[in-house]
Amino acid sequence: MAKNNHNHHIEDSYDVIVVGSGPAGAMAAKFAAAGGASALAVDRRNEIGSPVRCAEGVPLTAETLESGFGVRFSRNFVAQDIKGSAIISPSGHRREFKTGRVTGFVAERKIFDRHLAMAASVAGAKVMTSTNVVGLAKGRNGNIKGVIIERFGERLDVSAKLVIVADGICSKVGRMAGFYTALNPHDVDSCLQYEMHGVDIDDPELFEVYFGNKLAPRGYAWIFPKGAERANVGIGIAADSKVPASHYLDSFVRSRKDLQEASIVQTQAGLISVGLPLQDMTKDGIMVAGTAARHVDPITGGGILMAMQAGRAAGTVAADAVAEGDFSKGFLDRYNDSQDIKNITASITRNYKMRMAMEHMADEDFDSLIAALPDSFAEINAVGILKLVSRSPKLLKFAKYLL
Amino acid sequence: MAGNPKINTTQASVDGNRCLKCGGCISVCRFNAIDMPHSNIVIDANSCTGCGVCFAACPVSALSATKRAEERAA
Repeated sequence: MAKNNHNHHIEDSYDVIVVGSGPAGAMAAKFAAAGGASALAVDRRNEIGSPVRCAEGVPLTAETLESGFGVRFSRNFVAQDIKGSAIISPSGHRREFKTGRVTGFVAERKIFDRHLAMAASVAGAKVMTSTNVVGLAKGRNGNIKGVIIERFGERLDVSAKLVIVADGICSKVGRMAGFYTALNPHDVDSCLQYEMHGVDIDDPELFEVYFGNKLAPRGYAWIFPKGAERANVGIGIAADSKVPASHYLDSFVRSRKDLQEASIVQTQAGLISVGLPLQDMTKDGIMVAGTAARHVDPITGGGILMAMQAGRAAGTVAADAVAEGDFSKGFLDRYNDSQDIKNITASITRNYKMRMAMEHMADEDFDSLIAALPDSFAEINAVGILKLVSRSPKLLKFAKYLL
Repeated sequence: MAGNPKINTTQASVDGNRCLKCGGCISVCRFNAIDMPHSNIVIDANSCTGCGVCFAACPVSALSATKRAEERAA
């Protein structure tokens, strides 16, 4: 197929093509390239990281980013360092959980995501925006042999030995490949967020999280500081709710004088998976990673770190597959069996149970739970929460959901 | 299912003035009826059953039911 001037720099063939260049895709491309494979990461968006569809909380330290992912840390994408969280119960009681050290940051996602894509490029991968994958190219035996892309109105066939799908919540390509059908709306949160200026922030180093069935049914509201006066103010509710997220967010904003008077400098919407992850993320010649594989925490809705871990695992296995010339599901199952994926699956499954328990909690139960949390909550693990619930007579009825 | 008047008299339509183009509706559509080819939501009338799952999921209520063209003509 002849190429126009826009597309002459896309090769006819790569070892690995990554669909989507968010955190999962960028890390998949980076680790595939670092392992010696030729890799192309395409993103249908004109600007990586935009539109922002998340609260931008990243539970990553500079050390983890550099030692775990080989990505140079930069202050450019840090809007605010975070040292803990404040949880506000339905009755308005505030508990602060401080760790005394930086545990993560609120990011400028547009800068952070582009930084990750550049890290892929530094490792030798090619990244290409405004490039939409419209189909999977298959051989006579039905095996995937590449992708069909559309860029500046032109269609191109690009061959690949391996495709990594990291195209986020919609995951059109994941559907094409037969990994799944639609998400169950009850296992999805519908989210709306305003980036606001002029917010009275008690402590900019804390994530603020608000619970309550009237405030945010089956979800929570958040204020994630981006400096002393600016914050992401958002809400997530069950996607099968009859009332839209916008109604709850506007009620939350109206409930506070500072928010009512603050400016809204960005409006961001999105759906996030709060269900279980894909159990099987591989087929012959193809793997899925990140939000496309539902690698999202069902309680917090956070997914950036897990997406990066899944991308790292997929990229590493992809490079090994290229080195050994084996693209069968049998080989790619090393990705399913990787430590990164085991950790992700265990943590999502645990928090999914917790989410199910929370779904049955009345506001008084939330009050009891939040009051019962130990001061060391920021460090607590799931077993700790189970113990906590088992010890509190009022909360014991929820223990069954956690087992 | 085509021709069943109970489920097929309506289809989803998107209010372009409300839509924030997050694409969330695509992820919950069981019929693969929604796409965002060039940063705008497009609903395929042939695939959409008007089931309403996307109406509820949309954070800003940008999706709603409209009568199908053939219904309006009738």
